[in-house]
Amino acid sequence: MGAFALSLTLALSLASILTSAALLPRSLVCANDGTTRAGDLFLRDNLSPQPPALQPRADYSLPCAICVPATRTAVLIRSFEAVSGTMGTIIYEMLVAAAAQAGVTLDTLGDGLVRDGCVNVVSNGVRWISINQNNHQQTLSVVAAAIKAVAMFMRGSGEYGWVTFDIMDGMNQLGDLKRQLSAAENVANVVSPTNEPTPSSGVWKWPLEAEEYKRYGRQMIMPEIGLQGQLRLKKATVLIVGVGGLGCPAAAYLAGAGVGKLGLIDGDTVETSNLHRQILHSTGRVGMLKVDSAIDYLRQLNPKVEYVPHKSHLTPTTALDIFKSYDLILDCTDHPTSRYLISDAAVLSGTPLVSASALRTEGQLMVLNNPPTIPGTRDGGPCYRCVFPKPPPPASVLSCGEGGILGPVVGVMGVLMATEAIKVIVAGLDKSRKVESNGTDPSMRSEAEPSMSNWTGQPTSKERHSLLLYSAYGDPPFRSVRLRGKRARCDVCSDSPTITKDSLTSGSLDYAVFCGIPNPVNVLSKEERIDPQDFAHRVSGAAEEHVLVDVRDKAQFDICHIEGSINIPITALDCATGDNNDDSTNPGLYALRDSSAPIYAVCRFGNDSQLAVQKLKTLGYGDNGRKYIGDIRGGLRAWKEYVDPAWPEY
Amino acid sequence: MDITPCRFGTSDQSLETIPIAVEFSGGLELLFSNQRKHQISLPTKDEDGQTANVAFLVQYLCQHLMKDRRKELFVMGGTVRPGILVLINDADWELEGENSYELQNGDNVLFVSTLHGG
Ligand SMILES: [Zn+2]
Repeated sequence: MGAFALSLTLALSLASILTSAALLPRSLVCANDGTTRAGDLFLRDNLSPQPPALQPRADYSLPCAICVPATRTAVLIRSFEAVSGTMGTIIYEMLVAAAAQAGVTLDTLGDGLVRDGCVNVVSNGVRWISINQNNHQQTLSVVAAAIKAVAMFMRGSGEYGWVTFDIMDGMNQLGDLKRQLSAAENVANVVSPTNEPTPSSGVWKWPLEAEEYKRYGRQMIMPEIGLQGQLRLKKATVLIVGVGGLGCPAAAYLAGAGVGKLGLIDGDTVETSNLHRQILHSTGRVGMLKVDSAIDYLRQLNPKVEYVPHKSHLTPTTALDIFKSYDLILDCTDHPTSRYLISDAAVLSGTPLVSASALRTEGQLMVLNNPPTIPGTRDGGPCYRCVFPKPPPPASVLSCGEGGILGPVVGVMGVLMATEAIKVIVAGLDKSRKVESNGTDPSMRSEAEPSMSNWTGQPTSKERHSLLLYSAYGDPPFRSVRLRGKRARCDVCSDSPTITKDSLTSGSLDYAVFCGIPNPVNVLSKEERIDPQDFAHRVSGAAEEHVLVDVRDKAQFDICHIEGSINIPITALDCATGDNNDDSTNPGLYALRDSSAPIYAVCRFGNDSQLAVQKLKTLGYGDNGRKYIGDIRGGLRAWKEYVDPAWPEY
Repeated sequence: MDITPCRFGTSDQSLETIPIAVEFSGGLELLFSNQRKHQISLPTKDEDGQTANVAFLVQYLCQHLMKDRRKELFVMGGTVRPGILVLINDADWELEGENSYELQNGDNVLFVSTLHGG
C-alpha cells in the first residue's frame, strides 16, 4: 500500500523537477512532429499475489509514433487488471475528475484512438488523454490526483493490477526524464507494504460520489458524455407527462442515467391491459396510481434520483406552475388535447420538449422548442403548433385501446425519447430562456431580434429539425424526415400570439373544444336498434332465422365472435359499391344478398354497427324496406354485460 | 435527374405520365388498400393543362387510388386534412412549396398521419 503514497510523492516531486527543467534537449523525437515520450510512472498494488512483470518498453511500442503537437501535453494510460474489467474505467474517471478540479481541459480520445489517424492502438486498458495546454505542473497535478484516486480505489475494492502513465509533451520539456523515472520505478517496485497512506488520502474530493463513478462509469467513459455530461445530467430536472407505454421506458432510462430530479405526471391507475407495454408497472400493482407504481420501481432502479409525483392529469391552469421547475419536458401522453397543451406550456415556460407517439406498429418522435423559442423572433425551434397548426378531425384520432399497440414499438419510442433527452441535457441547456418563477419573460430580451413578419419558416442553415418515423413493418423501418422551422403565424410562437401565459393560466383555453370531441354515434331510429338480451331471446333455440354481421376487423373477429356470425369489416362496407363486384371481394356480402332473413349488425361498442346498418341500407340490402336491418345496442361490451358473462372481453 | 416523361405509344399530351412513388403511413395505408407503397404513373398535366403538382396528385389519389369512401379521413377543404404531414423526398412539403410543388420523375411523396397514442 505504501506504493500509492510513494507514487503520489513521486509525481509531486516530478512537478518540482519540471518547473526548473525548462527546455531540456529532445531525446525521442517523432518523425512527424516534435514529440517526446518522457517516461512512465508505475503503480503496482501489493495485494497482487503474483504481480505481472512490467513489460519492457519495446513490447508496447506503438504501430506508429504518437505525435504530440507543441501546444499539448499528453498522457497515455495503460492498465493491467487481474480481477475485473473496471479498473481502466475507474482510472479514466479519476483522471477526468482530477482534470476538472485542476481546471485543465481534457481532450479525451477514447480507447487508444488518437485523432488524425496517427495512432490506432486498441488493446485492453489503454487510454489516451491529451491535455489541452502545455502546462506540465498542471498535467502532473492531474496525474498525481489520478494516481492517488486509483490507489484509494484499489484499496477500497481489493482489486489489483498495474497502471502506467506515459507523459509526453510537445515542447520536449520532459525530454531527459526517462532515466530518472526508470530509477523511480525501481523504487516503487520494492516499496514495503507496511507503509501507511498519507493522512489526507481519506478525504473525498471528487465531484461525484464513489458509487456514482461506478454506477455511471459505462456512460461517462464515452466522449459524448464524459464527466461534464454526467454532472449536467445530475443537475438536470426532467418532467415526464404520462406514465404509460412511452413514459415508463423513458423514465427508466433517465433514472438509470442519473438525472437529478424526475417528475412524473399521471392521474390514471394501473390496468391489466397496460402491462404488455408499461414496463414500470406490474401485475401486483393493478389499481395503484401509475405515478406511485412507477416511483416504486424507479427507486429500486436508482435511489440517487429525486422523484416528484404529480398525481393528477395536467391542466392548463397548473401547467406553467409545474413546468417552471423543470429543464426539459417529455410528452408521453396519448391525445391531441394534451399534446397541444404541453407544447403551449413548454413554449410559454421556455422549456425544450421531446414529443413522441405510437399506435399499432408505428411511432413518431420530434424534439420541439429546442432551443426554446424567443417569441416574436426567428430564434428557437418549432413547436407542436408550428408543425400541426390545426388539430386532426376527431374521427381520425385513434387511441391504443381502439387501434391497438405493439408493446416494443411504443417501448422503442420511449427509449428514443430518453436518448434525445440525454442529448439535449448533455449538450447544455440554455437556461437563459427559461421563464423564471418571478415572471421574467424571455420576449423582453428580444427587442433587437429581426422581426418574423417575412419569415417563411425555412430553418436557418445551422439548425435542422427532424421527425423520426418508425414502422416495425416498414421498409426501411426507420426514417428521418426534415421538418419546417418555426411558423411565422404560429398561435403561440409568433409576433402576436393568441395564446399567452395569461390566457393559459386563466383557464380560458379549452383544449377539448379546440381539438373537438368525437360525437357519440346515434344515427339510427329506435326501431333499428335492439338490446342484446332481446336479440338473444329472439334468436335462441329454433327461433327466427337471421344473419348476424360482425363488422369488426378480421383480427378482432378471429379473437372471438358470436357463434354463427359472419364477418364483414366496416372498412370493407365503406369500400363496397352495391353491385356484383362486391360479392367477389367479400363472400359475406354475397350471403346477405342471397338471403331474405333479417340482418343484425354488431361491433365492439355499438358505434360502427350503426354506421354499418346505414351503409347496408344504402347499398340496397334492405330490399327497399322489406328486409329488417338493425344493430345490437352497446355492441359486444353490452353482450358480455347482459347476456354472456363468459365472453372474453379484450 | 432524368425527368423525361414516359410515353405510351402516342403523342397525345394527356397520356404522358411521370412515375412517382407514393407512400402512406400512420394508418393512412388503411385507406389505400392497406398497402404502404404504391408506384403510380401520374399524368404530367391536369385537366386544365397545368403541370401536375401536389394538389393535383392529392385529387388524383382520391379519385384513382383510394377505395375507401371516407374521403374526409384524407382530404378536407380541397387539400390534405389537418394532422397529415406531406413529405416530398423526405422533406416537409412546406419547405418545397406545398400544393404548388411540381412533381418530378422519380419523386417520393410520403403522407403521414400523426399518431397520438402513447
Ligand atoms: Zn409554434
